[in-house]
Amino acid sequence: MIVFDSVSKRFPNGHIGLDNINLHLERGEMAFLTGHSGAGKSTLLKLIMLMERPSSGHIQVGGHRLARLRRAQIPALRRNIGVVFQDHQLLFDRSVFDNVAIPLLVAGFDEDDVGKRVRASLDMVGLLDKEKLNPLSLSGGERQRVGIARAVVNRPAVLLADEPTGNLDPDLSADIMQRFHNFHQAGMTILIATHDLDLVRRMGHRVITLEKGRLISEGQLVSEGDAV
Amino acid sequence: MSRRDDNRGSDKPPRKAAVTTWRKTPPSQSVPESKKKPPQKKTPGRKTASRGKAQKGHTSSALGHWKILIALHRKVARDALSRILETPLASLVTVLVLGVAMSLPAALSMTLDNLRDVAGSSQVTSVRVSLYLASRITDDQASRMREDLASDQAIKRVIYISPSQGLAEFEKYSGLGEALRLLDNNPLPGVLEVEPKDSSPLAVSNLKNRLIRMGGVDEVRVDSDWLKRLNAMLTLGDRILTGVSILIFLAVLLAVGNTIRLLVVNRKDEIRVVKLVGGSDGFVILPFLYSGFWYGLLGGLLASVMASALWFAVSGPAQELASLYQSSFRPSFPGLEICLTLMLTGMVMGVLGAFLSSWRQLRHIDP
Ligand SMILES: Nc1ncnc2c1ncn2[C@@H]1O[C@H](COP(=O)(O)OP(=O)(O)OP(=O)(O)O)[C@@H](O)[C@H]1O
Ligand SMILES: [Mg+2]
Repeated sequence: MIVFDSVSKRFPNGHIGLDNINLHLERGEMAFLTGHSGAGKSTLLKLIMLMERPSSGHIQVGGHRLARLRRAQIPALRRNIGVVFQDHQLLFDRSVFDNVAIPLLVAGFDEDDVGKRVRASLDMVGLLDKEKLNPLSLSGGERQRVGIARAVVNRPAVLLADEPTGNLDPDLSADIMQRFHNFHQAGMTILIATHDLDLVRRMGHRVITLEKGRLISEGQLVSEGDAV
Repeated sequence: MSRRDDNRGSDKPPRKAAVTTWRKTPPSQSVPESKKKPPQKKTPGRKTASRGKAQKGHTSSALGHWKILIALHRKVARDALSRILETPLASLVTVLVLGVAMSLPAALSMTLDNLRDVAGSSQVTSVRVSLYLASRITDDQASRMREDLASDQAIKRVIYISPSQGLAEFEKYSGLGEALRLLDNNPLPGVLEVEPKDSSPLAVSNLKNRLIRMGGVDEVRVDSDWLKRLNAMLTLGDRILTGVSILIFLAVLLAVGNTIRLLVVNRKDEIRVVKLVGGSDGFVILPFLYSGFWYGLLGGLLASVMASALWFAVSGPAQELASLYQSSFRPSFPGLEICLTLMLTGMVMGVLGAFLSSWRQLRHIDP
């Protein structure tokens, strides 16, 4: 589903964000992306959804070579990728409900459907009672959950989550991860960037570790700080 | 994924992203209509299987697709209007600029139309064709000629002015009667004054050519200089109107464009987010086109109101002026036609201005 073929990302200021990454994520696979702050996790996720372009190498998503996509094809690609942004990317000029509804409006769902799906999604993250509020009046964790609800509201084929549980308490984090796991079982391809190694260990999926832009290990975490 | 990937990786990708390749097991109801469409439109042979499956839901959803599209447009139009009304003062300035600008060519064209009416109305402009008769023509012959001419299709009225009548008039108006009386006999010819039915220059010159060939006519003169002048002025006026209209057209585009440009800047975040979740360029630009549409419509409406007000203010004095010239001329009301034209051009230019100013800008907001 997601293939990185010797991908490097060099920023305009000369900084190397990613260095020769080779990665293969199967359709329906769930994996975690870890590494220290600044390791390049967000950069890698941004490359997948075309927020950034690689300086060299090829990326394939859903069978499409990203470099070959024409401009007009990019929206269709993004509609198949749900993203939880590290900085939430919520709009503060509208309610929680309207924020979560954006992907559905973009994809052309009809009104009744939108209502049902948005509420189901908000229910999933436990924010059903806040649908009418402005995101400005929510706590950091609540905003994060709105971001999660928006990412999964149209049941995308691919879910990319950048620190989705960074501001959440352990119980809520575990609950959200369980939901992601359920999506994974329903066939969704999921890649989650996170620092929460405990949680990662408990989930038992593949772990991809980055360090200073390089991929240093792939495999399941079995014991403390150890990758197989 | 392997099978699909082999298909894709090797040759050119299909023109639109085909959703069917995205999932292990395509969930039956969660693929929205808009996504089903692209693969259906340009289906290569290999996709027939999945297509058959989708077909079932499609007969009912083709209609649904349109319904959704219309609902979207209505929502976007409503939002755009309410956004304009939310900032009444700022919007009012734009609308005023548009209204004032557009009422200018409207007023000009109203004036020209009315002048053209004046030029066409017989009372004011009646062209006189004067037939100077040969001196051998007697009064009796002249009256017979007058009757002949009066029954002519192209002629409205004929008046005979005999030499003696002519002399009396000449004396009265010129004060040179004394000088004429020194002459033995009246040097003035009899004159038939012909008023043509059609006072257009072509008809008049045709008539003139016909009359000149009549026996007993020495000379034919057409007294239409001032009409020519008026017509020349009207042509000039038309040119000016065209020029002014083009300038106003540009001004309106700029005014709408600038307003929309600011709107885009103010809503950068929203545009980014919408693009991030897969909003197409068309989806992103739609609200701005509707903003332009509303501005243009409101501007056109205001221009109509101003043009009508101008007409009411001017029509009274104009009528008085006309009555001084023994004319029953009444300035005609700009009417629905001009108002509709104003609103229609307002809408079109609003949308066009919005498009021109935001298209490139929106494309450059890259998430
Ligand atoms: N637009 C940019 N221009 C220059 N350097 C950048 C840019 N974006 C990211 N970087 C650099 O690339 C490196 C990787 O950044 P990235 O955001 O991918 O880190 P991360 O792994 O997500 O970190 P964190 O866990 O803190 O979110 C960082 O050192 C960052 O400074
Ligand atoms: Mg990051």
